[in-house]
Amino acid sequence: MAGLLCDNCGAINSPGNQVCQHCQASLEDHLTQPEPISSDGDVPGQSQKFNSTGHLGFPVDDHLGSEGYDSGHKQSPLAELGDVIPIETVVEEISKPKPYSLKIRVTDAQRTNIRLLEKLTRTEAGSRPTPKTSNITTQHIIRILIMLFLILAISWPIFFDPPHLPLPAADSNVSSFSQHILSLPLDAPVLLAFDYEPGYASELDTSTTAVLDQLMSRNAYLTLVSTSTSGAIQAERAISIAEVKAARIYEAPTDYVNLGYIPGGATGLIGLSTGIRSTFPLSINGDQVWQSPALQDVNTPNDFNLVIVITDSSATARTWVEQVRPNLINTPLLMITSAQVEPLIRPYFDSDPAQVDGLIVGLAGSVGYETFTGRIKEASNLWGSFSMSVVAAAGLILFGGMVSAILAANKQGQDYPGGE
Amino acid sequence: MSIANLTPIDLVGALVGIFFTLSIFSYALGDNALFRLAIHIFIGVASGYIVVVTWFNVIWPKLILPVLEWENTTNDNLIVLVPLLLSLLLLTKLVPRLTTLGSPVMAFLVGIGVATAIGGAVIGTLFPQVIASINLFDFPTWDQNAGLFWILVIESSFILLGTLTALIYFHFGAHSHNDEPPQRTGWIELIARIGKFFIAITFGALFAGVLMAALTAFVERWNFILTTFLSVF
Repeated sequence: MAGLLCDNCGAINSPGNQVCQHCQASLEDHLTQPEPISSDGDVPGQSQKFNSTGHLGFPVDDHLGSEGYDSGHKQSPLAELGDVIPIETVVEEISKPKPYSLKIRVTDAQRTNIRLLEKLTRTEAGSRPTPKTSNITTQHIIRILIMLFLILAISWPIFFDPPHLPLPAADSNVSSFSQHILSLPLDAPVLLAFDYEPGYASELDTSTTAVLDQLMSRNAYLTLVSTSTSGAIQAERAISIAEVKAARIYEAPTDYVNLGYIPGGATGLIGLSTGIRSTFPLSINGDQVWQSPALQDVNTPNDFNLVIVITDSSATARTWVEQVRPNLINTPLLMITSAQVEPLIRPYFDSDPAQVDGLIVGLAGSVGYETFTGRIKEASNLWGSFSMSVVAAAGLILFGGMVSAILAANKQGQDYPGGE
Repeated sequence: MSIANLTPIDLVGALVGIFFTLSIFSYALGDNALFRLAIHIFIGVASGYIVVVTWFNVIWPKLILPVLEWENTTNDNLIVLVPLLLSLLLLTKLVPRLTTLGSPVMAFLVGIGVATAIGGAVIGTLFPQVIASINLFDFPTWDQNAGLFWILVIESSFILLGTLTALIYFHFGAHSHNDEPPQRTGWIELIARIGKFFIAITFGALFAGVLMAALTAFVERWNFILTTFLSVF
C-alpha cells in the first residue's frame, strides 16, 4: 500500500494515519507516495499494470475500482498516468546533470598563440627604445674619404703648379653665339631672361659675365626679365659683377631696365610673346620705361634685336622655345645653360632649321667663350681645378664599379658554390 | 685682394658665405645641427623673398592697383574687377564648405595650363623636330664633299634609328596567346631593345651633365673659401 507523505515535514507515514507521526500535522489533502516496485515487477498490495508496450507504469492500488480511483484515499495526479510514462526512460533521464567546468578548454597551440598575441599588443602600446647605433659607420668613412679625395684634386692646381691643362677651344656653339652679339647694331635693345636659381650661379655667372661684357661693349640696351622669383635680384647682381669685370658703369633706366618677375610659367610667357607692355606696364622700380627711346618701338619680343635666356632647367629652356620662339621671326634666340640641360636642349640647336641659334653650356662653354672674346678670365681660373675634379670623379666611379662587381661576383660564388 | 681692400660689409659677407658653405659641406659627416641651421635659414630667406616679390611684382601692381585706379583711367572698364573676383573665389578652396565656389576658377586655370602645354609641345617641339628629322636626309643642302657625304648619311641614319627605336620602346601594346602572359609582338620587342640602348645612353649623358654641374659648384665654392682665406689671412 502506498505510504502517506506529510505535506508539512515530508515524512512518510503509514496509510490510514490521520496525523503525521513526526510533526503531528493533519494528513488530509496529502500526496500518496508510490511504493517502490519489486524486482519481479510486482508492487506488494498492488497489481502490475502493463501497457501494450510492456512498459511498467506507476503501481496502481488493488483497491481501486474500475476507474482506478479510490474514493477513500486522495490520489496524486500522476497516479492516473499509470502506464503512460515509460519508467526506464524517465529514470534514465532523471539523473543528476553532469558538472560542466566554467573554464575554457585551451590547447597548447592555442596557449602559445595567446602568449604571442599578448606580447605583440603589450609592445605596441609602449614606446620601444631605438637600437643603439655607432656614431661613425662605414658609410661615414667612405663619404669623408671621397670628399677629401675630391678636395685634394681641386686644391692641387691652386697650391702646386700642375702641367699645363689645355683650355677648351671655342667651338661652333660659342662662335655662333658671339657672332650674333657682334652683329648687333649699337644701342640695340636686347631681352635677357635670368631663369636660374642661386645654386647654379657658380656655373652660369662666368659665362653670363662674359656675355654681358660683350653686350656692354656694343652699348646694348638690356631689358631684364625672369620667370623665376629670384631672377630679378640675380639679374641685378649679374649687372653689378659685369660692371666691375668690364670696368663699365651701367645704370638703370638709362642703360638697362629690370622688368621683374613673369608669373604663370608657360602662360606668362605667352602673355610676354603677345604683349610685353601689358605684361610689364612698369619696371621693377615703378618706372614708366616704354616711352624711353630704346623701348618706344618695342611691343613684342620679336621687336628686340636679340633674346638671350640664361637657365639651369631644361623645362624652362623648353618652355621658352615652345612658347616664345614661334613668335620670333627675325630675332635670334640664344641660350646660356647649365651642363645638365644640354642633352635636352641640344636637339633644338642642332635641328635644321635651328630653334636655338646659339648655345653656351656649362663651365667648358664659359671657358671657350672667354677664350674667343679674349677679355675676362673668370672661368679659365677654375678650369684646372675643374679638370682635376672630373678626372677624380671618373676614377672614383670606375673604382667603385669594379669593387661592386668583384663583391657581387664573390657573393654569387658563395650563394651558388660549384656553379649550382 | 687683401683685408685692407675689403670694406666691412664685404668682409662680413665673405665670412658669412664661408660659414654657410662649410655648414652645407658638413653634411658629408652626416645630418647635423649646422647643416640644418643653414637649410632653415635658406628656406626662410627664400620664402620671405618670394612673398615680397609676389606682392610687389604681381599682386599689388596687377591685381589691386588697377581696381584702386579704376576711376582715374580713361575707359571705365569693369574688366579690372574680374581677376580680383576670380582670385577671391580661388581662396574659397581653403574653406571646406565653400570649396565648390573655387572649382570653376580652378578648372579655368587647369584648362589654360593644359592647352598651353599641349599647344607648345605640338607647335614648338613636335612639328619642328619632325621636320628637322626629315631634313637630315635633305641631300641637296648637304656639303658636296664626297668624303663628308657618307659620314653625313651614316650620322643621319644613326639619328633616325635612335629616334624611331626610342619611340617604339614606349609602345606597350601587348597580346596574349592561349594561356601565356601578354607580350609584345616579336619584331616590336626587338626594336624596343635597340631603343632601350639609346635611352640608356641618354640617361648616362644626363647623369654626366648633372655631375659636371655639381662639380662646378663644388669647385667654385672651395675655390672661394681657399682664395678668401689665403687673401685675408
